[in-house]
Amino acid sequence: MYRIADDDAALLAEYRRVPKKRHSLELRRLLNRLRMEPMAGKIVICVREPYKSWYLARMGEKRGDPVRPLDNRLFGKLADAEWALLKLRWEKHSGRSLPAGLEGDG
Amino acid sequence: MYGILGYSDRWTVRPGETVRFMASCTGVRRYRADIVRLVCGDDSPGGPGFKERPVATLGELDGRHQPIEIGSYARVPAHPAMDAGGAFAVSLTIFPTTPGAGEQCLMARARPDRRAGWGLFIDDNTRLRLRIGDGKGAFATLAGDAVVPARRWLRIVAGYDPGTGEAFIAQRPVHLFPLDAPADVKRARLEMLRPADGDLDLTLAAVWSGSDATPRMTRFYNGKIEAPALLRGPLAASDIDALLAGGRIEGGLVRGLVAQWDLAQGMSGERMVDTGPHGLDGMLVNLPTRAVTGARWDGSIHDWTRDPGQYAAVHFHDDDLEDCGWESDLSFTVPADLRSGIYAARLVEIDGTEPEEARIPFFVAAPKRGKRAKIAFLASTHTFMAYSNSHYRTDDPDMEMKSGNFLALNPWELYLNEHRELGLSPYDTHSDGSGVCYSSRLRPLFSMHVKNRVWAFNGDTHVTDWLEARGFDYDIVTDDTIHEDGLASLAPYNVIVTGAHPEYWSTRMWDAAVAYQLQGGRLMYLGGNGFYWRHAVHPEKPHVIEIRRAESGARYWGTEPGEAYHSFTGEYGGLWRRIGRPPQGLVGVGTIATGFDFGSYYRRMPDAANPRAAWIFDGIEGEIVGDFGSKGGGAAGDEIDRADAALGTPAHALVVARSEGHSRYYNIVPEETLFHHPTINGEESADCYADIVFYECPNGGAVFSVGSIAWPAALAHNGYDNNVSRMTGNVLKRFADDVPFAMPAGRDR
Repeated sequence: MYRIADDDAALLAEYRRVPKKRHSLELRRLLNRLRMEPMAGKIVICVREPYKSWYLARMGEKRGDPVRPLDNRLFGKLADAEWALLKLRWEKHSGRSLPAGLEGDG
Repeated sequence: MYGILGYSDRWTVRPGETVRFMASCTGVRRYRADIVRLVCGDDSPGGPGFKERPVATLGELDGRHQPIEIGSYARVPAHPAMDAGGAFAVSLTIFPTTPGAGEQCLMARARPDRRAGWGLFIDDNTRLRLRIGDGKGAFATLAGDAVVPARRWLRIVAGYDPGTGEAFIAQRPVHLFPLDAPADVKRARLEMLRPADGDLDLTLAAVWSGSDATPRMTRFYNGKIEAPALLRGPLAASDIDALLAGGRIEGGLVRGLVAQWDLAQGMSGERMVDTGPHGLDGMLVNLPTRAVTGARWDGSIHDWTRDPGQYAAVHFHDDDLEDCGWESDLSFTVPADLRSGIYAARLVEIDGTEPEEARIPFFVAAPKRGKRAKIAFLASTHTFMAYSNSHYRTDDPDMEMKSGNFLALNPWELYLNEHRELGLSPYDTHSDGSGVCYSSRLRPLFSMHVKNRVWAFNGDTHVTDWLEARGFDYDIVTDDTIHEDGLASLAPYNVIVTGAHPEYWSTRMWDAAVAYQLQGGRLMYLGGNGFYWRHAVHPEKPHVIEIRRAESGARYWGTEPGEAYHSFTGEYGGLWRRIGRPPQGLVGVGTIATGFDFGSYYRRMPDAANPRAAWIFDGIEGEIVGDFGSKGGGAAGDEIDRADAALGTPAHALVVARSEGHSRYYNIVPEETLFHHPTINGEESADCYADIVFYECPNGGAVFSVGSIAWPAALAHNGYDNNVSRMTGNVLKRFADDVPFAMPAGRDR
């Protein structure tokens, strides 16, 4: 199975810069890896108000468990919620901290 | 949110007929009820916008909560012959799927709240456990020593003699796998007490809670049960051995037989037939799965109708549901002059700060006799039922990869996740991992919500919205009317227009579509992944459909070996393609790929210049069609179909446009990729495209298919002034016209 390597950190900058439709093969492979998670405890995006606001939440351990908000952040753009989620997944799956200097980071 | 939920007793009504609505409220004290005509349910940005028109007022009502009882079981009414005055024994064969997931009842005449009666359970410790109570405080219990293994057939015999206190539990694997434990018999002398079972029904797979209020049943069992039997009199060791060896009541055992239920009989219904001396028939409740392989299935047959004895088992689930059984608060009798169309009972909370609201859709078909429009829109009601209350976005870890996106769970998905009592969808698996075969509409169905995911019902309102915006007069036909009335429901119309996803077709529906084409009917298939799965309808309950995910197809679960034949009809299930009737033979195109990140566009093909088809492009400039739309930004997307002569696309069919530029998150469907390889994605595959196809049919008929679920979502772009809308309108006007099409002659044929 593909394992995230040091060089892959550069792909995060591409994610910030390049529209989804034109993502490179390497970035798509990285994103696939970051999406491969079991449902138990998975952090996901939830819609607070359709088409207007989103938040991050954690799935329960088993089917039917409530999906609990992760924190108090509320995102006005889906893309911002996706970026916040991607950063969490990156740190979890790569074991590496987020590279500095990514546009809009933080 | 979702403080009001409801459903109707029927989905398709005609003028003069009455539809009843059932509603349940949580935190809503009073609500107002109206009837509205639904035009468009899509309130998403870029969509046409939510549109409804009031039609009638039903009044104001007090809200009340109505409970739901989920979980399947069997019930046999109490009968004096069952009373355990003396020694008794039970015998059954089981295939448990979740031993260890809490105590589960196999067979009982009991109410555990009073420790009354007797019951045989799989306990928390995955052992068989016999419980006996006199209802006055005295009780006794015996647990087996052997573990109850998951997903292994196991014969079980257990008994108790009130006169001596002798009890036993015996179990033996039916098919001994190398590492299975052999037979195990546990005996003990327990307290002598008479089980207080006199007025208690006998149940399988659950036990009465002792309450007539929800939850009435408890300790649901997940797994299969075969050949349950009740016997009287102490059993000799040889009797127990004989039962463990064969599971059959025969020889001397017959003398003590009270009841023996043959679950191979009446496979299409819910009656549980007793072959014993007292005729103690029972009923299966909440649609446990039938036509499943039994302990005697040896793989030599796959069609249960050929040897039902190999299918003498029922698969119970703690999350089966047929009917909420709510009381009706509202009804509406369709006036004679009400236009055919999509309607809903709209229930809105009165005086709420953020008023709760619900809409319960129904479909008004034209009167069976009388004036009709020339155009009928097909509401794919059985497909809507198939999507029912799907949980795959909260249950399936592969969804992010399938969609090429991070999960963004919507409020309705979060609600359904926590409210499992609303039941599942045939896209889901049960709590024990087995696939969901049945779907009932006698429950609130979130797939019928507007302002919801733009899919199935809600997505199809893009077509009704466009029909109304463009001023076309149309009637509604539904899967229900086609299944019930066959060709007669289609025959009056010059053209049938489908929605975005007419995916499920019963045999009667399919045959009616064929007959309609043969008589000169015109079909406009404005979707993708249509005419894909065969389903069955319950022979007596039109509110229940059945789906088997046999062999192949893009699917969220696969049918177990030997279980590809529907219980309702005995028909082979799965893809129409695997039944020898690929959709290309009916509509010129069939499913080739699915993908859910972006849509794409079509490019005009040389056949567009053919005089037979040139009129389709009247007023359309340029090569590109549909490079817009509110679903993924292109009219070719989500699930796409293509022409294929080898699968039945008629030789004279014209491919007038073809999509291109699909993404890597589109993948060729399994039935087209017998051996997977890295180039089956939309970027690399030469086969990943949607075709727009036109061809003439006998007797003046014709077919127009667009092969894309995303097509209707492009109709409203730019105020309905766009080339998708123009092309659809060109075809619909011509198809509605009485002038017959001529079959081409010569080389074009």
